[in-house]
Amino acid sequence: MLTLVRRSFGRVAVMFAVLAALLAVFQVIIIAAAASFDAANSFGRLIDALPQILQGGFGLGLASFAGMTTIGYYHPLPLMMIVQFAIYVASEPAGDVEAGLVDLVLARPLPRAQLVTRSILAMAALTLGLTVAMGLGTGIGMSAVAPRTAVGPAPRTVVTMMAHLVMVAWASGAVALAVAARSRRRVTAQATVAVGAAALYLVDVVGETWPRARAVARLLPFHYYHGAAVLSGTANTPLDLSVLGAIAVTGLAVAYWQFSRRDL
Amino acid sequence: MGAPAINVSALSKYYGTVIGVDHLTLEVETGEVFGFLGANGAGKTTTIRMLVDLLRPTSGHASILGFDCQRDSRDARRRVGYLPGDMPIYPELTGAAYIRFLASLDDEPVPASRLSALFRRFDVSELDLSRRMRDYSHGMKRKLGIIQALMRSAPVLILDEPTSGLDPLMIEAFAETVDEVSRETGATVFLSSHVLSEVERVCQRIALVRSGRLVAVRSLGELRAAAPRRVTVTFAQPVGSRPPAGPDVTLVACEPQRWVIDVHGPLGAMMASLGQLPVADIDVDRLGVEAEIMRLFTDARC
Repeated sequence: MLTLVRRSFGRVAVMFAVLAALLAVFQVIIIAAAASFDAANSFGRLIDALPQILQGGFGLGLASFAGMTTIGYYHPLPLMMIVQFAIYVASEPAGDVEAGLVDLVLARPLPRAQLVTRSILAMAALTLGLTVAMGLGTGIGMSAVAPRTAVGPAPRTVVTMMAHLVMVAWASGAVALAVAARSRRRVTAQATVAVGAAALYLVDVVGETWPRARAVARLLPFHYYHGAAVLSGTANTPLDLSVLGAIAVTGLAVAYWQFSRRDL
Repeated sequence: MGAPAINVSALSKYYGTVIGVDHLTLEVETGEVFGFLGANGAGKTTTIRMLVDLLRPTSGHASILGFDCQRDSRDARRRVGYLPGDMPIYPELTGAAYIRFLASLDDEPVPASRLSALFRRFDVSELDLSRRMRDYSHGMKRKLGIIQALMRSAPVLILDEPTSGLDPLMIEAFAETVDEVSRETGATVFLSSHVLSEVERVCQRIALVRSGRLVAVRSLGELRAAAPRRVTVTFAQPVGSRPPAGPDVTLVACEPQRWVIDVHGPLGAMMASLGQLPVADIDVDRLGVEAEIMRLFTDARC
């Protein structure tokens, strides 16, 4: 099993390193920007400049230095980077079928399920790694570019956001794995889930201001990770993580079932 | 008596209305080198992929050394060295890393001496092994494919078109290796091909498949014995009559002073019919196994 996981890591090592560096640098830049707004005491003007549709999602995060330093954990850019990476890694079984690599690997005495387990472990570990890279970026930013007098985010808040971020990525990855487990083309599995995830995220954002979309948003994974709610302490973290966990477990169960019965 | 090395019983695979394999039944004895012949799309690869449980049969079953290929899939695969028809690679890996990776998936370690012998046999150098596979030629990938199938010392080798893309020297090296493996370790070799000469060189028995159905199973001895003879009759002067017709006679050429006829079975009747003609010379050649195989395929088409 470790051999297979190492091989999966090896195949995405460069992409992972680049993303981890980008996410860490993004955090440092956000903290540098927060330091600049803090020095100019201009957080109020920043909120005023924010469009109405984004006020609910990001307003609180832009109201203080501590809030702004956490914004990277739910900003759409890092969020989508991590979610899309999880989807990419999880779609590996479809790539193995497409490239014929299953013929080499599964002609040996390995259970089929090991290919699914391998992708789960790779996806879970690598997305966790990206989130940890963000945490490192936050640490570096706080010690290198934050003003000495500035009050940073509470560690509990950061850890809760990281947990949400990881669970959203795992849920998306699990859905991608379920699709990839019955697909013959990696790009089909990956694109379907990737576009779907981006669309669902947009529906959730729209749901902030449009009541009809809000009703639908309850059914979407992104509804269970609102950074502003975590920041304000109003998030129901156990419920959020349970729902995201349930989506992930369902996706993984479907993936095992599909892969065990399909033609490769 | 033990279980046959490979037992296929009424095996079928349908893709909707398309027939992949249709009620295929055959048995390969332990230690046998068995050729599985057919044109492209005949069902060879589909059958092979069912044997290694990559495809699930629509009906019927197959077993390897007594282990059901689907129910006891891992036990069956534990006893198989497999070369896929299309050689998949990890392009970013070097040849050495590729072999190391595949070896690490096996239950037992691959002896370094065996690997070295295979590298030597197939002319794979240290330099070749240090290059990334994305830079390999088709033949080079194929050679590593054969090596990874043989390195496990498996009692059953299943090789899908093993020599496709190999140069003549490597084809000979492959044939020698199959002879050696079969003779020295008693391994069973099941190989698919559409190259008749290759099958004739290495196999003891062959099965012919066409459109997913079994056409015939013959030993090489039977095929050689049944192979037609080409009779070339030269006349001293032009003759007006035509050669005798019959189910065992195929007219290849009919000129006023020369007939060329392929005859299956006894020559007596054909020779007797020449009695009244001004025969100057008769030349009789036994054709190769290929001619008999082609005849079997042609008969199956009718």
